[in-house]
Amino acid sequence: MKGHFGRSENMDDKKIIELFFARDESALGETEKKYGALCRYIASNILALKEDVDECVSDVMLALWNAIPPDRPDDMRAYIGKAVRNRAYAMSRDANAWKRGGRITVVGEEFLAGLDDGTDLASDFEAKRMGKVISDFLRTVGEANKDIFVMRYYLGMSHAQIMKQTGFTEGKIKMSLRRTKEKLAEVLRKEGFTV
Amino acid sequence: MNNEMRMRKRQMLESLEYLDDDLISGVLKKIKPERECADPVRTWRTPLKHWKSIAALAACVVLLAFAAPTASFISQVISNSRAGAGNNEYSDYDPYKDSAIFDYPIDMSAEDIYADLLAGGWTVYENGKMVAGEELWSEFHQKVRDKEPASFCQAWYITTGYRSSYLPHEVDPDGMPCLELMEVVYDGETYYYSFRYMHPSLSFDYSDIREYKYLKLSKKMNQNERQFYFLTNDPKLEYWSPFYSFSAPDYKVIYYKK
Repeated sequence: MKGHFGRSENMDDKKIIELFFARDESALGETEKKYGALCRYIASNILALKEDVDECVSDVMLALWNAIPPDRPDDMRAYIGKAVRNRAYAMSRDANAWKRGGRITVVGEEFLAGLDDGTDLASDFEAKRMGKVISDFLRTVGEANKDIFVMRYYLGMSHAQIMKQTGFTEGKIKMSLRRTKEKLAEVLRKEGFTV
Repeated sequence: MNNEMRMRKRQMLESLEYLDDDLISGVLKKIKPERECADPVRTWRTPLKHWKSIAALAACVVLLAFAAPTASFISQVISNSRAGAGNNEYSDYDPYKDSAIFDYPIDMSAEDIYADLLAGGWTVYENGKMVAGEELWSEFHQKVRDKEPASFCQAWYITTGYRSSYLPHEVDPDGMPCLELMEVVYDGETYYYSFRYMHPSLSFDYSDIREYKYLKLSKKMNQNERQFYFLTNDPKLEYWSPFYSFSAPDYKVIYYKK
């Protein structure tokens, strides 16, 4: 099975994990070969500079080496993708990176528009609870709407990138985001969040 | 922005970090980084490699080949339903005629359009609230149950702006009204709604065919700003428009019943 960009066959995830467990450093090389493009893709949606993107991916590779073992991810792609996203977002919050730009700031403001009036999240607990509410809500809006929402607000992808990935028109993407957010606002109100 | 607000915003954004793994995983599996780099020229030069695109294109060609006969079939269904309904005011009904009636000057006021339609013999149902819309819809359904021809495709919507449920009294992002044409076909069992949306600033249009339990209509005339009416029975106006919904409808309705 060909991997991305026509490279030689990528290693199975289970074998890669076994390399991690064996503390075989080729695990990192295999991970980079299989998921490097995806990692850079995710990070570049959040971080504006290539140097920051490279740093982010390197940090994640190191974090993987330290986390596996004992972690044994069931879904390597999601495991790595989430790690990259969170690391990139954390880097974007850094004062210097923030000033250098990055789409997550613009996308973040878009997400908050209409949702944050008076919302009081007193603690991480509330943030987790809200995350759970949003997760449950996204399971009810249909596959396409869910994908578009996650791509835009979680991964920070532009409309053009979402169009390329999904094949949807820009109009459909904008429509989906607006309607999903409107419904989300209602759901958050019902769950006791002040919106 | 003060520190408290900044922290609140940050916490709201952080809530996204707690999205369930299966949701993230499902989306990540669909992302293909190489699509960002694909050379469209190379794509066309390697048809075997992009067989999915070729197959989709072939399917479109096949669908187009069947479009004309399908439209003819639907038209025949309407004609048959009219023929079977006996003497009725729709016997000479042609939903596509009288297009001139929509050709109002751009700067003509809503009230003047309304008065002109009245003077032109149109039956006008004024709808200041949603209840009247539901009454109109009930009347439409009654005609359906009575097996009268019940397809109509044109209505007007007048507003000074578009309101969304969380940004009341806002117009669309560019401050311009959006125009939409909806056509309805009823074959005796199912309503088929097709609509075409046009917004000058966005410079796109799309058409879609869906089955709804209610109807929303407006008329696309051209790409310039217009005022128009619409009819609906959806109290939430959930499917009214791709870009807005209404929480407090305030509009006039014209039911095409000439």
